[in-house]
Amino acid sequence: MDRRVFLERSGALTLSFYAPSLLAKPEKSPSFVEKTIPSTNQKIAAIGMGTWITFNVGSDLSLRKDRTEVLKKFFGKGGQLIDSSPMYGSSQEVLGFGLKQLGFPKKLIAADKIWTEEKSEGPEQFKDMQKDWNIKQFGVLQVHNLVNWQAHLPFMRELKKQGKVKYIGVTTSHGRRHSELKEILKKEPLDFVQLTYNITHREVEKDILPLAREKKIAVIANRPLNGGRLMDQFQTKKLPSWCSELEITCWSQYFLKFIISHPALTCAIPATSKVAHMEENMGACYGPLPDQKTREKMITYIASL
Amino acid sequence: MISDLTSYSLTDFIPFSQEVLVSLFRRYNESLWPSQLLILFIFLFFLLTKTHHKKIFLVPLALSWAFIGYIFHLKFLENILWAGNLTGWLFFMEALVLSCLIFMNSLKRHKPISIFMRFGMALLWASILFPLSYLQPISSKQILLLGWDPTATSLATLGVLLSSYKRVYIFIGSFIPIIWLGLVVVLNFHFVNS
Repeated sequence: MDRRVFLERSGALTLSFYAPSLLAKPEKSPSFVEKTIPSTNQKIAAIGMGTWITFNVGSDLSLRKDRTEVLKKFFGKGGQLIDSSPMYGSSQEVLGFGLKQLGFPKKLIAADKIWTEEKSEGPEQFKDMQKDWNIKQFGVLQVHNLVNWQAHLPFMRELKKQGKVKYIGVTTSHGRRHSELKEILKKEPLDFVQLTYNITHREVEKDILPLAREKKIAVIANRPLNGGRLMDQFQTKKLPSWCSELEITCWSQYFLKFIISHPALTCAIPATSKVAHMEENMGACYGPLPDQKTREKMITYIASL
Repeated sequence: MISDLTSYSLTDFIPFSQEVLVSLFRRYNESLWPSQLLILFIFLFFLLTKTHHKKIFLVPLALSWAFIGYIFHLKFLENILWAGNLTGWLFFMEALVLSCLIFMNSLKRHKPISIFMRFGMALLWASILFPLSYLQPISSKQILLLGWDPTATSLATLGVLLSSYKRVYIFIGSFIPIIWLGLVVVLNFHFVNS
């Protein structure tokens, strides 16, 4: 058997190993939570996936395979949007590896970022991410942490025109540079904004989320579990009994449902390296969402603990 | 790369978990095992024959810095950390600094033996014993040794400079090892607190 045939056959075997759950329809129920991207009315799963730290495993094959299992669970549960950045070390490459193993699920919405001070490096970074992810088109391309957004947005608009990118946006995290972010949202035509929003960091509720809604900009919430701190803080505490009405079975679902129930929010992107945690996170994409009154109750309950 | 450093925090520069770093060190160590034992024996020979006070000791030390810069930083660390390229070049620079010291009148005339020299000797021995301080139950193939481990090599370099070299050369030669040791402290602090 020559090398080409061997590779083709082994590739087919690998795919057939992962494929049954991926080729089958994802486990969606009528209560699967989807949100609308205002600029196109496209529906997407309200829970996505971040890759900060969790997918930066370098070339370690065993860890890459572990992360592929996490991806498999994500898609199996109906997940779509995966977010990464050139700042995240090998995360893009590891995603590319996993996606290839899984046969590039069609539902994927690849979200990545341009992160460079130099205008001339933007196109290079885009080429690198195409190579690393093993894909040609991206769902969302964002300016990471507002780094030289003035230079990168025109390039990203050009990519959008060429059909290489469907949506463009900007990101910030940890509540930084919000006044600059507001100015950008007011002036620039964007499809997406990514920012930090969780039950203990709700500053954006005051003006940024209403502004995004007014401007018809989709919102991605990063650090939805506050970098895992919310879980460390509360996982030994008891969930309130009324959570069962919302089909909340664990704390991550409590925190994620709180986020995605905000009317301005499109998608929350928790990151994990564990299949079990992915299963729990994706659970937040099922069942009823809290209404405004219940959201307030959720805040009060957390404050009381 | 970074327009506004105030908008970043320490955690932004550590994009990997402890699990991944341990795995990286394991693969780094296994990639050339057991060559590192030979390197360790060379250093031990210098120490036991007390020839570490001579400039010849800087030859394997400079080679180690260059080797670690290339293999560890550029081939392994850069995989998970964009700044791995930068730290790699810092290690090459230290190799160059140590190489220059070989050709300069850099050795102390001594004696008497000062407290700095004693401290330097203690650091040198610590760099040999350092791998034993690893608490994780790792196999012998995964123990990082002097001449191979960037931290042990930084300690040994500080040790030999303090124990045998003139003050001005201690300053010049210690700069990069201290930067590396500082990074290691910050990294450990981050892992303990995250």
